[in-house]
Amino acid sequence: MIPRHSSVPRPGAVPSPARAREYFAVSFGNEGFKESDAWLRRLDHSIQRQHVAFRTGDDAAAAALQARLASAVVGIRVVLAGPEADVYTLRALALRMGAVDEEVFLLVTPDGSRRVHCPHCQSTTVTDRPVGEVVVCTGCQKSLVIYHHFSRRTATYLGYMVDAEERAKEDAA
Amino acid sequence: MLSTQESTLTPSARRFPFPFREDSYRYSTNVEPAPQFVPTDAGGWGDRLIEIDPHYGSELEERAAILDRDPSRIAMLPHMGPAVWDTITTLLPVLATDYPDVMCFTREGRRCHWRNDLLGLDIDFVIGDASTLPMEPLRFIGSQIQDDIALLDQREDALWLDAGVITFAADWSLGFDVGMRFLEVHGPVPRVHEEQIITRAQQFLMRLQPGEKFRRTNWTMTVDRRLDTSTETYPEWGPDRLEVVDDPDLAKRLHLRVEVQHLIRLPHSGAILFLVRTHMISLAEISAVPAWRQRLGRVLAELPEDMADYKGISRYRHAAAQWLLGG
Amino acid sequence: MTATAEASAPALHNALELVLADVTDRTPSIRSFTFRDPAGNELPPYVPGSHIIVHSGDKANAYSLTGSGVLTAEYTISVLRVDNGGGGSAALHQLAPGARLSVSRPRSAFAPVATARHHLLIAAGIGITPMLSHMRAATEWGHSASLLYAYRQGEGAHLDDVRELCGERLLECTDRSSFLAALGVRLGEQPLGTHLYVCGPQGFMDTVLSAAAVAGWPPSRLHSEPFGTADLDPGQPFSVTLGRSGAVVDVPSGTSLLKALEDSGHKVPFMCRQGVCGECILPVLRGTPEHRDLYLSEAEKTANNSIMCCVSRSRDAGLEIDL
Repeated sequence: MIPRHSSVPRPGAVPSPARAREYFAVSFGNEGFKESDAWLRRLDHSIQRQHVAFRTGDDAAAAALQARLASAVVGIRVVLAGPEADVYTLRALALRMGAVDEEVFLLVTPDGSRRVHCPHCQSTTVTDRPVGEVVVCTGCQKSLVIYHHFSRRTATYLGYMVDAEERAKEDAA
Repeated sequence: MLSTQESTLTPSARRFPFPFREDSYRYSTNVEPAPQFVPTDAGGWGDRLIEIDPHYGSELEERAAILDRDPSRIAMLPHMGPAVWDTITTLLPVLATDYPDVMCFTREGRRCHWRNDLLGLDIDFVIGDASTLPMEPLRFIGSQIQDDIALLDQREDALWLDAGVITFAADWSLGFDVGMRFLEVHGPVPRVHEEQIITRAQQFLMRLQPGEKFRRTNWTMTVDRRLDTSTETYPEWGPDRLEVVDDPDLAKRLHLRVEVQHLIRLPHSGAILFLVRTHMISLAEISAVPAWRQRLGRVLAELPEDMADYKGISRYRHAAAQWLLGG
Repeated sequence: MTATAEASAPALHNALELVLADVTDRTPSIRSFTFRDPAGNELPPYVPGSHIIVHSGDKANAYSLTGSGVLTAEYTISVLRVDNGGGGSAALHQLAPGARLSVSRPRSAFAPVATARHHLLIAAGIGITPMLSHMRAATEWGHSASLLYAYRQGEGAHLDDVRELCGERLLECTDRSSFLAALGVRLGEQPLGTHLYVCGPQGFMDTVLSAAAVAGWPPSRLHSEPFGTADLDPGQPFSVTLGRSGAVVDVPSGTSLLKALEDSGHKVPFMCRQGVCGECILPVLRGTPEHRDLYLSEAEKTANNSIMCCVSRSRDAGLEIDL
């Protein structure tokens, strides 16, 4: 179980639209597209909006967001919809480009993919295992336990070697 | 009446910040104004903000080697430049005042002169101009003091860990945590959230006025006086936690690790400077101070399991308690 | 100043004893005062936008420092003379160089946001003072900033300073309609990551902040610092129960809770009497304060377990404090 106060993000209720100058939505996958589209329909007709849809989160999605935000003025809101790994990765990009939490709306679809950071070799591994389970690092092949600690800056969970304290015993045996 | 065997005390024991005031330990927001001298059963500590001890040279060499090997131990988000300069211009004068025989700081406008005889350093630099320092500013100030350094920015009604040079971490990763809110950084710590300890600590820190200095202690245990127990190197030191349990040399290998953490509101940037100075003393050294021996033994025996797990001492803490109390 | 007058003023915690080194008239009603350490030592550095509390006569008032806060050989404030104001500006205006004053250490309540991509500074009248500090710091550190300055013709303080400092980053407005037009344009063209800072009379700040909200600026990008206590409305009368004695103290409209407590013989530590310094904080046992201070955080205001009794009042009849 993930402790209530951990840094692990918990998608809450669907956010309500706020007063804004324009909305820029990026969605991933069919579910993400539907969520984002339905949410944008709740906005007042007079508010400008743009929705770009991607099959999955990849460099093209990041490039689209980056290009839009590079010329954006204060008053814009960003809507990100899709699996959490994609949504949180693009949120990190938006925050890096000067957005604050209040300006980024997240619509997380149940998919379960997550990115895990290995502090031992600095690689990132994508997995659909839940927090608390073990994943093999694609960088150093160590077995990492997915810890209930999440970085908004890198959109990754901390993973650390699960059997470091066992190895000695096995070697000795 | 327990008496301390003066003759067997090591110099580091005399200055060791023994943290326990009772025979049990729980988390609390244990802050007090700094510096102030605290007498202990072996001597005392705390009369200086920056403590320089006989390990100065070797610990700074070790920090340099770690940073060369793993640059992720130093991190600075782009907006933290003024806070780093604020750290430099706050700490160098403190050092010069406390160690006038070997250190000297003078400033005229933005031009500064710094002399540190312990390192054979004599430099002129200009505040705000990184090219006038022998290395990047954050690494530079980290090369002058044994303390690890973390810098917290205050905005959006919260504190953010946005820069630091942390080579002697007690089982955490600056590279992973940088950019997090103070509350997020402490997310994994058990108990403290239910008890509102971190929230209250953050409120306290956000209230600190420019120039105010406070401190607290924290503790854990480490095998073999290893300073670098970061998450990054866990595969290297993790096995020791198991090995040490049956080692006949347990009392020499197992160390009480105490962090003296200073909390300072920097005057110009408004950032919070968090200094973390790590002191270690082996159980064998502790046993020269009977009052400490007994107190640490009782604390280790009584500590709740979740706290022992989080501190990473579950495997050996009962063996340690037995050695201390069995005497 | 006479010793008697100083004796009746509250002692400042950890204060600096400074000498008034220079007095300069900025406009017919605004005068700058420069303080130095009598021994010539440097003064503590400060966060841009900080204020000091200055004692003059039996009054104490908070004034913004106008320097960048990095190199602090002196502290300079600019004071608008308000003849019947409560803060002692008239007494300050009578001081001549050489006078010794008790001055608090700088306190930060209006800091620039370090992560900002751009700082949009908006000032009216004497509200220019903290903006000077912000602009000087931004210039020294190479941060992006621009200033929108509204003032009445002939009454613009520090015009030479801001013109020299800002160059093309300055827009001056001397009437309401041109200011509103400029504000509308500026609010719609700031790069993402901009933070807005406003200082001036309450009505002016309300105008700016509500225009920003309409233009889609989220609250965390908006920062304001009011000045002068005259702007707080007198409030509704209420009564407060003192938890320790059970006594009930009536607080009439126009009288602060602090004043009512003092009048009924209760000593409460205080300093600025403007909801800035935090000195007069009292624990709340019951009831809902009407928070009007600048000291408590939003979270603390929501928690409703403390009150700054110099400016804040009660929302309901059941306020009980631990006194």
